[in-house]
Amino acid sequence: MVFSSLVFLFAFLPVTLAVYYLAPGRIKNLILLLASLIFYAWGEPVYVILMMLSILFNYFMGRDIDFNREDKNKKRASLVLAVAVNLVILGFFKYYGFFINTVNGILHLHIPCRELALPIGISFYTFQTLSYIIDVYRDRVNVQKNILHFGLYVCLFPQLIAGPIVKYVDVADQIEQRSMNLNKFGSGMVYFVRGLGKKVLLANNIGLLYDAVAGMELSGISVLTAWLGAAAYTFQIYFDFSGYSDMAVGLGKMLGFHFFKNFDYPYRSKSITEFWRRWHISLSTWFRDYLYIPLGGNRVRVERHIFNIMVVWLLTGLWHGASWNFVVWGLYYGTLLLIEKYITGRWIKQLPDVLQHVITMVIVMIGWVFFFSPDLSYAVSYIGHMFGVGSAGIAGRDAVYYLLTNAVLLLICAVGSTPYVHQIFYALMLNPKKKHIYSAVAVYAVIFLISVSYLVSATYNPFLYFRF
Amino acid sequence: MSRNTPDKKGMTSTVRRLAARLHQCTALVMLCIIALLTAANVLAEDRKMSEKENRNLAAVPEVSSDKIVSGQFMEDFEMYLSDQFVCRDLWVSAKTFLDSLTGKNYANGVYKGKDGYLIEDAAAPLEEQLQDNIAAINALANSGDAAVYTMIVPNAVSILSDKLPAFAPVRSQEQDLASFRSRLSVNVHDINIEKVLSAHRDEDIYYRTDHHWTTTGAYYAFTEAAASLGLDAEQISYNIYKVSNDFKGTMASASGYACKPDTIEVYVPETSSVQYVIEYVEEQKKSASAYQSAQLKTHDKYTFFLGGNSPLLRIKTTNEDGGRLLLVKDSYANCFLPFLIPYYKEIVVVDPRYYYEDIFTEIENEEITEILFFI
Repeated sequence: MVFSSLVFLFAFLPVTLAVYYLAPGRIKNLILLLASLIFYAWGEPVYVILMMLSILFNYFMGRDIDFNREDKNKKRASLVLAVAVNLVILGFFKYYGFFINTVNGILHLHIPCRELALPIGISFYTFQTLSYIIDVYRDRVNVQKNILHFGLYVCLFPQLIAGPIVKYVDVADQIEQRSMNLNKFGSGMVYFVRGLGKKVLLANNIGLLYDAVAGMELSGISVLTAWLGAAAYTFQIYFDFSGYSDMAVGLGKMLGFHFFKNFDYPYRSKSITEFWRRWHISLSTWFRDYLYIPLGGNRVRVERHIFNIMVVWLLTGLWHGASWNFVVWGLYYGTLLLIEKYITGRWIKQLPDVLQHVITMVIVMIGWVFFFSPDLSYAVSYIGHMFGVGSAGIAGRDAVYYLLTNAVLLLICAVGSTPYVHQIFYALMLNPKKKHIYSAVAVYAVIFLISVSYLVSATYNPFLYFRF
Repeated sequence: MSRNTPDKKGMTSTVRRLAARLHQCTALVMLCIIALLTAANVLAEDRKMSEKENRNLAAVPEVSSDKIVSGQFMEDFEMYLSDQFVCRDLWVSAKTFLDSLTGKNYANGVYKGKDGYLIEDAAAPLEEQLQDNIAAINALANSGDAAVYTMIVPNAVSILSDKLPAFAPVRSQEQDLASFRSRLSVNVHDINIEKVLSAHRDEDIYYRTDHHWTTTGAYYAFTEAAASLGLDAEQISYNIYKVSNDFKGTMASASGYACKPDTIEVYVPETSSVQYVIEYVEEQKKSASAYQSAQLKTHDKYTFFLGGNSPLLRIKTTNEDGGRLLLVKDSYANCFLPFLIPYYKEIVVVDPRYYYEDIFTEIENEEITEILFFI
C-alpha cells in the first residue's frame, strides 16, 4: 500500500489511528505491528512471509550475538553469519537476475534465470536490520528481547517501504516508550499533508512532462526538450521521494515517533559534497556509519581514501537498483566527490554563488539521466542531446509547447525546492501580531482536498467509441 | 524563558505557542475531513454506472483466499473505492479545472483549443491495415466492374489547426494523406474535400465536443463529392432543423473538460419527393428514415444518424433513374449518407469494421455501378 492512495487515506489510516488511540497503552505496539503487517501484505501478500522470516532470523541472531558477548570469536562468527544471510537474501532477490545476465554476457553463456519480483522495501528493511545487528555487536545498543518490539522496529509501516532508513539506535527507546499529544499529532499531520501535496500535486504532475519526453523518439528531440525532460525528472524524483519521506516522518509523529529528516533542500546545494549531505540523508548516514568509517573513512592514506570512497559509491549505486546504469551513477558521484575534495574544491568556492549552484545542478541533472535511462547507451545519447550532439535543433515546436504549458508548474517546483516557501509561510502565519493560523490550517486542508481530487481523477477512465 | 527570548531554533515562546495552536487546529480539521469522507464513502450508496464516463463502475469485490494471495482482491478493492468515491464526478471536475489554472491544455489525448474546441491528435495510420485497404481499393478499381471513388475525411486537427492551443505538437496529417493518395491506382477517383472544408473552417463544420464533423461539414463535403460523382447538388435545397442542443461527445468524455454542449442539426430536403426505405440487414429492421430520434436521449447522441454503426444496410429509393452505389464507410459517413440517398436508386452501405461477408458477392448481386470508400 502506498500513502498516496485512496485506500490508505480513507480506509487504512482512519481505522489504524482509531484503533491505535483507543487501545490501552500496553497493546498499542501489538496493534501497530498488526497494522504494519496488513499494510505490507496489501502490496505483498506472499513476500510478507519473507519479511516475517527476516524478523525472526535477525531477532535470534541479535540474541545470539548478545549471548556470546564474552567470547569475541563466537560473537564475530555470529555477526558474520547474520550479515551474510541478510546480504544473501537481498542479493538473491535484487541482484540475481542482473548477476546471471552479466555472467552470460561476459562468458557468452545462456544460463537461464527467472527474474523474481523484487519484494517491496527489502532494500530498506534489510539495511535497518543490519544496523541493529551491527550495533548490538558493537555494544552500541541493548539487545531487544521482546520479539514484538523488534518486529515493530523492522516493519513499522511509516518507514517500511520507502524509508527513511531508521537506525535501531535512534528509535530503541521510542519503541518501548513514546509520548503522544495533540501538538505532536498535528505537527505530524502538517508533515503528512505537505508530503502528500509534494507527491501527488508536484511530482505526479511534473512527471507527466517527463513521461511525454521519455515517450519521444530520442532522435527527434531538441536541446530544449532534452533539458525539459531532465528538469522534469529532477523535480519529479525529489518531490516524489522527499514527499514520501515527509509523509513517513509525519505518520511517525502521529503515532508518537520521531524520525530524522531525510531531505534538507538538496537542490539549494552549491557543491556535490553538500548535495549528498542533503539528499537521502538516512542512506548516506547508513553507508557512512556501517561501511565508510569501518573501512577507515578519510583518516587513511590518499590511495586508500580513494578506494574507500569508490567502494562506498559503487555500493550506493547498486543499492538503488540492479543495473549498470546505477553502477555508473554511483561511480560518477564517487569520482565527482573525490575531484571536489582533492582538486576543484578550493577554487570552486571562489566562484560566485550562482555559478556554484548552477554547476552543481547541471551535474545533478546529468546524474539523473543515468537514473531514468533504460540502459547506458540511451543515457549517453540523451546527455549528448542535452548538449546538442545529435539533437534535432535547439528548440522545436513541441519544446515550446511543453515549456509554455508547464511553465507554472516548473516555477512552483523550482521555488518549492528552496527553503524560502516554508520560511515565508511560517513567518506570515505565525506572526504574533496578526493571527493567521486559521488561514494556515485552511491552506493545509485545501492542499489535502486538491490532492484527493487528483487521486480520484487518476482512475478517470471514460469508455469511448473512439474511431467508431 | 521569557516571552521574547528565542530558543535554539530561533522561536520565541509566543511563536511556539502559535505553532502548537496551528498544529492542534490542523490535527482536528484534518481528522474531521478524513473521518467525514471515510464515513461518506461507507454510507453513500454505490452507483451502478457513471453517466460522465459512460461505463459501469466497479462493485464490491469478492473475497477469496486465491484472490488475496494473488493480490487481485487488493487491486479490485482499490478500483472499487476509487470508482465509488463520494461525489466522484465533482472531484474529477475540480481536478481538470485546477489543471487548466496551471496552463495545462491537454488531457487524455485531447487538446483544449480555442473557442471551446476539444481536439484530439491524429493517430498514426497502421501500416498493415493501410496496405490491406489500399490493395482492396486498387483491386476493385482495376477490375473495372464499377467506378471506384475514395474520400478521405480529414480530422478536425488538420482543418482546424488554428483552433489548437499555441505550439501544440500534433501529427501532421498532410503527409499521411499525400502518401495514401500516391499509393492509389490511377483508376481510383479521389475526391479531395480538404479545400472545401478549409474554406468553410469558420463555420461549425466540426463538433466542439466530439471527434465527428457536423452535418454542415458533411454537407460541404457532399457538394464536392457531388461534382465528382456527377450529381447535381443544386437540384435539392434543404431546410435545416436543430434536433439537439445538448450534445456532449467523445472529446468531452475523454478529456473530462467542462464545456458547452454542441447542437446537432439535420438537413431535410425541401424540394425532393424521393421516398426511401433503409433495411438494417443484420438487425432485421426496416426504417423509412435515416434518423433515430430515440438516440437523442442517450449519451452518444451522434448515433441519431443511422442509429450508429451497422455492418450492412440496403437503401432502396423511389428514384428510378438513379444509379446503384456501394458505400464503404466509417462513422463520419453516418451524417453524410442522407445527402446521397435521393440521388440513387439503391445504396448498399457496408461498415468494414463489422462486416465479414464477401463484398464481391454484394457488388455482383446488387449490380453496383459505383463504389465510394470513406477513409
